[in-house]
Amino acid sequence: MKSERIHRLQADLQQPLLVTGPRNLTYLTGFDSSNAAVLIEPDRVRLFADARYTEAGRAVPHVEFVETARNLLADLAKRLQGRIAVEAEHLTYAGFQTLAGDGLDLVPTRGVVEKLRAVKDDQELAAISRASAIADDALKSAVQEAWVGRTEVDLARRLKILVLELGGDDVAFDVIVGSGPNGARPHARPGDRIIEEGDLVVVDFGCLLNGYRSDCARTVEVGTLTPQLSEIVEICLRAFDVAISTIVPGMTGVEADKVGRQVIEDAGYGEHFGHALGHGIGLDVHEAPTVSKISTDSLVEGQVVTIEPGIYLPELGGVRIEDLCVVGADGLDSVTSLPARITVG
Amino acid sequence: MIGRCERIDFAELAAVALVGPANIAYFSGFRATPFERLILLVITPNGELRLVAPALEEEAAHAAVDDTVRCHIWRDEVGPLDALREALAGVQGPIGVEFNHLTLERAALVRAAATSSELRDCSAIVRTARLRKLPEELALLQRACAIFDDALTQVAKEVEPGRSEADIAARCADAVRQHGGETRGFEPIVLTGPRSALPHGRSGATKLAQGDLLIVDFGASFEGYFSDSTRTFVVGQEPDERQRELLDVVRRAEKAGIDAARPGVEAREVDHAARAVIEDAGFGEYFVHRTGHGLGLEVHEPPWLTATNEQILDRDMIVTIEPGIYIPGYGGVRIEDDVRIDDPPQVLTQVPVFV
Repeated sequence: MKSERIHRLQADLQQPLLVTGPRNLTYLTGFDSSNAAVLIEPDRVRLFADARYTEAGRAVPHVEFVETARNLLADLAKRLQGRIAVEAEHLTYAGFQTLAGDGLDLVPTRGVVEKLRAVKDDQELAAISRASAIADDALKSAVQEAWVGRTEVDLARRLKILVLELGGDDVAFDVIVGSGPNGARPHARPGDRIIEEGDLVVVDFGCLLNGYRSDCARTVEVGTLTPQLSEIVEICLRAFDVAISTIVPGMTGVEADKVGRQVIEDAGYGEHFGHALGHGIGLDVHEAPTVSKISTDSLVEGQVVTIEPGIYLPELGGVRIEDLCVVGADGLDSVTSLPARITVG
Repeated sequence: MIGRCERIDFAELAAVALVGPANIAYFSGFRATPFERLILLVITPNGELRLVAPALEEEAAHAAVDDTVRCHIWRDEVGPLDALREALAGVQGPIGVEFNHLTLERAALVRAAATSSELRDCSAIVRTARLRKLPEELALLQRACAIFDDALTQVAKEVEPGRSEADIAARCADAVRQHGGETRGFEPIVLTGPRSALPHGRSGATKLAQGDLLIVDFGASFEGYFSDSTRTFVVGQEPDERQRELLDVVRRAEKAGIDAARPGVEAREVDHAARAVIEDAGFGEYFVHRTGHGLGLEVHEPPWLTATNEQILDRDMIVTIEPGIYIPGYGGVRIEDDVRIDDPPQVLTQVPVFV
């Protein structure tokens, strides 16, 4: 499994690849450390870490563990030779300078391991599904409680506690709660605003379980909505339904994004949908593939993506409906098991 | 945010371009959880603040900053380069960046957007700016410490044989949240019995046993500011003679460290003051880490209270004082409080040392 992942990388190497991104390291070796690196060569795989990690490092199968000095990159600068590809999105500028300090020829690369991570194996799909189920249950539970009179912060805290009580390791990212006008900010940080009748409350959160993350969003309708808010909910829902039922593997990110975006644009709200239709998820909350206006990524069976159209009206409110989906052979299969529309009294 | 930019010693830099979340929060007021989209703050020597932020954060950015900050918003389909160019307009000369934060890829982006391609490390000068806390920061730190106090008082009641380290750690986090704090950024460290001798251990499945030492180390963040404190318990009973001795030595070491934490003193003198007490008692070889670290928008920041750091401490810096004794195979004791450097020093965490 992990060795397969390493073999796939070895097959495509143009030069040895030094993996330093923490998630990428975990993905390839199961090793969890803030000060480690893996060098992938056609016929050799070495895991480098300092003495604090020797015991754990030696236990990693399929790799050769090498104990380094505490200053990992300075050590590697002397230890390695020739031309090496580095992960430009993870290596800091300081790290780069240290590593290049002794004459190593460093080639910046992007997204090599991330590309591999995009297609999930069965174990990963199961882990993500379990995480998603916990988040679903947390929201189902929260929806049974009173919402009017509650602050956004209180609701966010409650969701986190529910996720933990239901067996999650943590929330996947800081819980987003945007009530009333605050819903117009897609990444609203929960505040002291008190939820009231007539509010749309955008709730966006996920569960972290065994390293894998889920992500979903629902816009809870508190009582009766104004006609305008009702309208954007209905349009968003349509965009959501069309996207989930129409998107198929083989589409590029742009094509898939368009499927959902077109509905919102045709309804006259294109300017109010300012983010991508979706994103891949796994060890990271955001990973390949991206479902957006500029994404040349292709949707491939086995990927896990969110579909999350939204409409945001500053000072009035917003709506976002998001499911976690697996890209199946014929289309998207929702992992999220919540009703698309949720109303509380 | 008035006056904060004036604390930056630009020297020959034409501007700084910051991506570190704590630095961006400090200078602009904008606290965003960075995902992968670029959020960057340019500050010029004449005090101009230019915030590059993705469209997704536009409303939040505008809500957080005042009108001294000019926002340069970029949309996903266009990418950040143009916004970055605008933010760097007029900047002629070397640009300060945080070498330890800025990725190789982003360094290339900054170069592409700037007229000069020379990047220099500005981490030290920017961190220096954040050393002495402003009144509004002190108030938030005070609150973070009060949350710790309340949370620990609550957790202390739950220390009993049979509970696991992880369980107590979860209780610490719950208690912090219940009292209005946040827990992101650090894991409570709860270690018992011989495991309390591991200064960097992680809370695990080990169950608390009657008579064992128990180290409980956690903190709270409040509006971005961190407290960080530690208490050592004996589970279910009074300390025995050996435990009492260790607790007494560490407590005296802590007091000596706190007492030394005054303006004009070198950081290493604080470490020496605490360490001397432990050495004189014969346990010097078991005090295996520095005496403390700075606290603020990061849970670990300068000044570092190590045996060699000559940095001069100044009024209103905030530090932890956390001496400890760790005897492998037996157990450890650590007592930690948060202190404002002053004459006399002010201890911000108030929960009694022996709860």
